[in-house]
Amino acid sequence: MTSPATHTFVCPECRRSIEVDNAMRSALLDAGCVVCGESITESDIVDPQTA
Amino acid sequence: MGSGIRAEVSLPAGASSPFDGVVDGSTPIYSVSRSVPDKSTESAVFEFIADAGLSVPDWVDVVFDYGPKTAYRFEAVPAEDSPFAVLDRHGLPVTELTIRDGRLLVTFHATDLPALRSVLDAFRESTPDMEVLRLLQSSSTPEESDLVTVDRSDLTERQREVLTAAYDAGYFDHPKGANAGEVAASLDIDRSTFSEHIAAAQRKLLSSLLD
Repeated sequence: MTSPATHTFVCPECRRSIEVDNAMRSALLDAGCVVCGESITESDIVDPQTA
Repeated sequence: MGSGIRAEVSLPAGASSPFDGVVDGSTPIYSVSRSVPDKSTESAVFEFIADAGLSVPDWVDVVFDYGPKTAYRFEAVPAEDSPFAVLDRHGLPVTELTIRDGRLLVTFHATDLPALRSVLDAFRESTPDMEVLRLLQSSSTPEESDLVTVDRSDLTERQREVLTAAYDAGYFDHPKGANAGEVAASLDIDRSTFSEHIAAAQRKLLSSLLD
């Protein structure tokens, strides 16, 4: 079973690791970590995984 | 197209969960539903599906027998910081709730990013050990998505065991990591028995996928 390609975001501040899809990846780059609010860069999100 | 966010969050099963004292945290709970029958009281009725024959307190009723699984029901007043109460305050229904390995896995749809942040703040306040597992935005769901439901309980325990062993050994890889005889030997069964189990399992799974 496949799902949309996802990325792993690791917050540089709170260290939480979250699997996100493309749209959520863009949202987080704009808005920062969804848990602690720390601003993030592309380097905090690693390449797509195939689920 | 909606801007909602599907969030999958993991929280400890004890503490403020209404299941504290009902089941051992290590007991897998396959699904949970809830009803609030009377607005004048704060109590809610919880129903969950788990393995049959669980040892549960007297005040937990068995309401339906599904064979290997059973539906159980109990009434409780959820703590103010329980995930249910937090989501209620945000006007968000619980989409899916299961318990695995002592963790409550809650799925819900937040209407937008601020709503998601607010829910996560409330979860984190009562449960610092909260983990956000997965966030998906509905706009990214491929339109060609064609989901099917596969009921793994259609497989017998033996079929699942054989299928898992075959998969893990690379029986389904190309080129094969192991042939039928090798997987059968690892399971200490005849090759013909292995073939029967694997064929039955494949037939059941494919019938769900191809219908």
